Amino acid sequence: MASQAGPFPFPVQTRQFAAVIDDVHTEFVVMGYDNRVMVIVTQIGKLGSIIQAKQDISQDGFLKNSFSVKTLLGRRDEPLLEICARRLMELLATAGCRRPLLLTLGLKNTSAGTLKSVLELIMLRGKVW
Amino acid sequence: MADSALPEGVVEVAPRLKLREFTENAVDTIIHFQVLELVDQLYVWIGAGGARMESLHTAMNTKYDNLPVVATHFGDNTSDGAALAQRLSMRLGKVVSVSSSLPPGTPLMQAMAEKRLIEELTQASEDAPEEKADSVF
Repeated sequence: MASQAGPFPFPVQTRQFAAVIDDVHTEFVVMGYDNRVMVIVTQIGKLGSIIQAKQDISQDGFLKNSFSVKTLLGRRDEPLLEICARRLMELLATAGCRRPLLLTLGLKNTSAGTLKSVLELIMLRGKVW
Repeated sequence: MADSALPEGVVEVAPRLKLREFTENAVDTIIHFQVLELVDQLYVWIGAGGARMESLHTAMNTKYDNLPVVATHFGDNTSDGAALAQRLSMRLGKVVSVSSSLPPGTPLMQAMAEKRLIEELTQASEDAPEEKADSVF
């Protein structure tokens, strides 16, 4: 539901979608910036926790097979959130995405089942990479 | 796409959050905006020349000070973005997250961007209540 103005193509690719996951209405907005992919997932109408994830680079500049995750704002008592960000970064990297990830999770339900569905939906509907 | 591709227990529905994307044509620059309306919160991205995300700041009102508190999550050494988040938060009474890639030391551009933002947000506040984010959740 993006409203655009002007004759220029808007430079950011966005995908917006929504679903009911385990009876909870969940909104998604995925934005493909030049240097980053931002994914907003919310069930509470707010951004919630903001988590950054990236693929590690070795000293000589090669991509390693490990990822770093950092919670910038929000819950630090729910490890599943960072695991979700790490897993999403891994999925993006496997799909050929070289940009780091910024994931915001404003969830009512942080069960493993919900998080798994969240990840699947993002990969199904949110391809901006 | 086939519905069988959706995970179990998941039903896809139409998205209802309002994402506004618009562009401001200044004399020698083009500034792009994204505004995502959430519940008592706003996410704003401002891009000048391209689609980079260089910084992120979040400002919110507290009872401890008249000025909203602002946190810089990453980027922006000049704190223009942080100041914008703070001013928007104070003006709108909401939590405001701003990502701005406007070049540093350009007060005129900052002012113009802020003016356009306020115009769009004022127009948005005149939307029907059923279009607001609170009705979604």
